[in-house]
Amino acid sequence: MAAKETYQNRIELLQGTLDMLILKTLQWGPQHGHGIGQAIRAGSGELLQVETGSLYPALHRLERQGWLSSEWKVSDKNQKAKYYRLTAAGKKQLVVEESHWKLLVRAITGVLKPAQ
Amino acid sequence: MVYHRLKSLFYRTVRRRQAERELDEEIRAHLAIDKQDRLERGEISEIAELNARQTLGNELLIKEVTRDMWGWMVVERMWRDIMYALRQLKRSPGFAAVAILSLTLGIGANSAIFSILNAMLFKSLPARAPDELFVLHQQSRATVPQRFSYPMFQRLRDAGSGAIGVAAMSHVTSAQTTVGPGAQSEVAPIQLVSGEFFPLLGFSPALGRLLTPKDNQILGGQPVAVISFEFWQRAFAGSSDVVGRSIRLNGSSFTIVGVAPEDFRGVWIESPTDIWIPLMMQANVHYAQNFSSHEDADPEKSWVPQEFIDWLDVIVRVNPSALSQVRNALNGVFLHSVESVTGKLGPETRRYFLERTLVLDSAAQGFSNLRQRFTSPLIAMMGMVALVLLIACANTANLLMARAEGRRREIAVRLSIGASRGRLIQQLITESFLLVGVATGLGLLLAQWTSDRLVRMAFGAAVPGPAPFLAGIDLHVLLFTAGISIATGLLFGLAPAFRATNLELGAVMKTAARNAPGRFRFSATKFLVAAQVALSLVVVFGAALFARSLHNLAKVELGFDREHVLTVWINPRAAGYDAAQLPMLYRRLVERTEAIPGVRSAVVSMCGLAVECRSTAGMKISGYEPAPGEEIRIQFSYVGPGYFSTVGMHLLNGRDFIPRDSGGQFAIVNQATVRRYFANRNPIGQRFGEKLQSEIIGVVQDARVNRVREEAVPMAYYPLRGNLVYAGSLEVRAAGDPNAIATDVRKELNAIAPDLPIERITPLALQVDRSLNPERMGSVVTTAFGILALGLACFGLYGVMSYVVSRRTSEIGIRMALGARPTHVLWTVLSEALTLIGSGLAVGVPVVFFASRSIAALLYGLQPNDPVTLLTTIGILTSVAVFAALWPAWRASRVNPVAALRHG
Repeated sequence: MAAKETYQNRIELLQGTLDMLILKTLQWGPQHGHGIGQAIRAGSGELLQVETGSLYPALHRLERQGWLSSEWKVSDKNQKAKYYRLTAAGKKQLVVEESHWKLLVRAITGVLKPAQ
Repeated sequence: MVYHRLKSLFYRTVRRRQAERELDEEIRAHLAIDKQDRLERGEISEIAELNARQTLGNELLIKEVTRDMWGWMVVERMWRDIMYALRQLKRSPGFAAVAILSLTLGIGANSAIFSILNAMLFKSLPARAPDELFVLHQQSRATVPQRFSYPMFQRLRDAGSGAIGVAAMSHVTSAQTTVGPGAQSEVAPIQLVSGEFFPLLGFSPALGRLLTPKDNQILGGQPVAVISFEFWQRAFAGSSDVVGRSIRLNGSSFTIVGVAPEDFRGVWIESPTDIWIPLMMQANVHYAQNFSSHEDADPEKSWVPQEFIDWLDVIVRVNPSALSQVRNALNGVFLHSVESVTGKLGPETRRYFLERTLVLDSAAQGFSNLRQRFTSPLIAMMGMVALVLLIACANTANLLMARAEGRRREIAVRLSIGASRGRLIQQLITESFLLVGVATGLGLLLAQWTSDRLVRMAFGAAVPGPAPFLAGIDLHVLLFTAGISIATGLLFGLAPAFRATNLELGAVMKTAARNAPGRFRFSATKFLVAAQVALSLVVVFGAALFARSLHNLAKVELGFDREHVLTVWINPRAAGYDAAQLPMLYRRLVERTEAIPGVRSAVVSMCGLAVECRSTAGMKISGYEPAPGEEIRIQFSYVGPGYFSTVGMHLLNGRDFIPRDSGGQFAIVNQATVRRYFANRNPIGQRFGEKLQSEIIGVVQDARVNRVREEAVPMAYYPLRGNLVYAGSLEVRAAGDPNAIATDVRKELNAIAPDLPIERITPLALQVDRSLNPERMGSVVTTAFGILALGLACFGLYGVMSYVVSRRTSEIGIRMALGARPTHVLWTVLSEALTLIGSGLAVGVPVVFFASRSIAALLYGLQPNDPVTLLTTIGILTSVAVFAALWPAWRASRVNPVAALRHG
């Protein structure tokens, strides 16, 4: 009971950014869930650890929103996996989210500056 | 529609299955890839596997949260909950059966009673904009007729009052109807209507056309008829060439011009109408009922042109916003024409006419004579049946709690592996609603089946013609049933669900197979049982009051001899007899009937007994000074010589009519008249009547000629002979059983007057019995409710006592091992049951006193707080309840100490 609530909190906390990170990762080509998680971790210099319990719900949600599509493929290591791919709508969404993010960063930086 | 729903549900289920599989596979793939990565990084196989799983986290939870993203969750989850609930119920079929049965009976009974109430009170006429329909009534200090003459109707119609439309109609009457040459004649209900009737209601015909104002122009010259859809099906088998066929009504031929729409059975709720004809045809079908005449009126001539025969109900369609304006306009016209019409009358009579004002009452729900009489009994029944449902709810709640008790470990396990409490409550509620859903479906079937039977039982004999009104399941009833079902589900499902999921997890998990004592749960159960006892006391007491009322009514001293009289219902007017032919007809009827072996005497009279055939007249009485504003109204009847001895009323004073008496010259009055108007005076030889024209020659014993329930009213009897009054009945006194001579009487009458149809032949006892049909229906139904309530309460008590015994087996074992005797154990358990019963009664008795006052008016011959009935009820309830507790108590007394202690 308690565990579930924690997961939900994290999803909410990460929601905006996790979506963007997933979309960004998929910009370089189709990838399966595990790969996406690894890519984010590697890309963030091991700083961001994506919980599986947040990753898969997010993937399914993005797919439902039409920003991702998926297909089953066999990986180069001969493992069958579900590969996610960015759709045209997803690409547009990524642009929107990135600009939002930049705006947010600028705003927060602006707020933080005078205090220093 | 349903098919598409099912199809989409099917695809969803299939799609859903596939999605589930894919999700499983996706997570499996995730694990495999992670493990592979780890292996490549040099971890040992087992460790890699373990680490992969650990990093993944709670797999079930991930899946659950992911599934949440699919969006179709609400429906799917409900579906899964339903499947889960079904599996749960399948696991305890006994519980499911008992719960569904008691809820079905509760919901079904509620829907059935409500459907009757609905048909009487709430159902609108199937007319266009029924809320715009109003009926004209007259208000005055004195008793005034509620009907209008045809000329008055014309003036009201043509007044330009601002009403959208004005129509008039007669009462529904039965007519001898023959549908074709050589066809058997039958009695069909007909109604005379003005041409505006159908346009005003806004109907379109099912076939042909409906009546229009053009059909009501020529006095006696437009023999056209519209038939009901039902009559079309019944008498013509729905044949499409029915338009243009001819039909005979009371001897006159009519041409069918059309068929009314299927859902229209007439505007009188309890008298579905088969045939409508124009008002102009009144004299042709010898219509003569529900009318009042004054002054120079001659009821034997056509009524249409007559100013002083009031026989029409006037319906007005008014835009509700213009209501007061229309009422004022109509009142203006009414008063003006009454003034001019009554110009020649004396001042007293004029005042009687001029004091009236018109009011508009809503006619949206149609017309009913029974509405007023049946509303409060039906509401009382509704209250009782609601209590029965409450008892059923309490019962089911108890069963659910007992079951939750058995499922505590399961629930605790599910809570601890991460199911949220909300989800579990949702599932438990789903189970409750599944029970309610099934019970509602079955309950509606039950309601459909019973309401029809109840209506027939209550009204069947009171209404001639085809079926009485339909109390079917319509939208109102469905909404009502849905409403009570949801309330029911919440009422018995919510508390147990909340309680069941409110657990100290650790404690439950740790205790062994035997459950930890749940003190709170337990007393809630006891509370529910006590409440059931209290509620069932109310219901059983109500039922007992109704049963005793009926019993009192059945043995009321009626003042006539119901055992030996046979009533033959005749209608010489409808058969086309001329007034001049009547004396001859009556003499032959009486003489030939009296010649039949087994017949003591026979006599014709205006009305049969116990059918509420009421004719009254305003009168003056010599030597009696009415109080200001008091109006002397006396009910009257015309009877042949020897009437009183034939029906068994005793003449107390004076003499009976002899064949020489004629005209309104002589009269016999009853005791009530003497008591009321001749206190301390000898009535014999006194005069009374509209013009003091009648002399009292005798006093007859009081009799309940109208309704069994109604005390004798002041009454006057006039000699039939010489008054040329159409008789309604031939009363035949039999030497023995009146049933034995019925066939002979019918045969003889058919032989001497083949043109005089016999409407029916009824022994008086049966007629009286039938007049009590509504009361009997009420008593039967409430008794059924009482038994049901008692049964449910006892079932609850049995359940809780069994539970008590099973929990305390080890305690009882110890007691017995220490030397307690079985009788002592038996008594301990029984006394606990008695405490429950006693506390239920303690609450129930004051409630009973309060609640029964509301049905005081419905009772006969006993007070609503009748102590004997109350004590009997308590006695019955207690003994049945103790009996229910006896088995568990007996089982407790047979506990084997050794076995109990070993397992304890």
